[in-house]
Amino acid sequence: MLDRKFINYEFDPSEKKVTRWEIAQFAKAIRDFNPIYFDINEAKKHKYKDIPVPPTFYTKYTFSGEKNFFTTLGIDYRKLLDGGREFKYYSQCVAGNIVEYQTKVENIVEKEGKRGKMDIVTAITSGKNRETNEKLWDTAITLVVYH
Amino acid sequence: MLNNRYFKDIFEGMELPEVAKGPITRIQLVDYASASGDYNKLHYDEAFAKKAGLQGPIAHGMLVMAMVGSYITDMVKDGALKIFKIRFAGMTNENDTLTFKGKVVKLYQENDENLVEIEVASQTQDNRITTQGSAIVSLK
Repeated sequence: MLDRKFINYEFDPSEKKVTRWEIAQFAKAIRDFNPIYFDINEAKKHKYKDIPVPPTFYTKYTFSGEKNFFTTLGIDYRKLLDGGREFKYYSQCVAGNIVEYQTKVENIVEKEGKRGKMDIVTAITSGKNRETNEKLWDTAITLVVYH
Repeated sequence: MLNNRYFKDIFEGMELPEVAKGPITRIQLVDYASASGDYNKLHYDEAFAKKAGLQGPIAHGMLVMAMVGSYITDMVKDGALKIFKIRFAGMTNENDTLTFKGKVVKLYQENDENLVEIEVASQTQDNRITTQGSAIVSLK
């Protein structure tokens, strides 16, 4: 059972510059060859200021800070199941943006399932554009940790 | 397929065309490990995956979610994704081919935006559902 003192725990924020190269690398890896991810003229034709990020690009920024999320909370990988993800999008992030994001543990609750008792951990990572302070996205992470 | 030009033609219950992608090769799993930064060996080291009780490497859940994301953005073209959520329902194995499906479940207007809610899922060649989820898209 995980320590409830981590409810509302905030990890240190992180900052990353989004590059065209990383977007192209990500789009290739997911086998999405939409030219807006590779060609600046195509991106501009579709009214983007620069190459836009694909919807799940923020997976790269799932957890902020230097400290490892799982070891900090004392989560044993062998008892862990990824319950799912939810992304909320507020404005479009494009190459050249510097993003600032921070992870917070929202809640830890106990449930009982077929495989016995478990803790459901929900964490939210929120990202913004550092220059404009505009909110970009939220990632809600749901993890199942068996006792 | 789903944009404002065709808003009048979209209806609740409308099925989106199915799209198959794959097979998901070891090379793709290595490409995704590198692009996402998730280097868990379960996704590309066969001996490690077998030791963990699997038949072989499995795809990253977030790789499958990303492929569902591409399916949605291909369908909605310049529409803006507002919410995208996925529940992992089963494992996607190396060499699986995935079929992506979608269905319009709700059409509504909010703050002068035309919004569409769709349900999405990915399914393997042997009919195992690996992800289920939904998305809300603002049409342009």
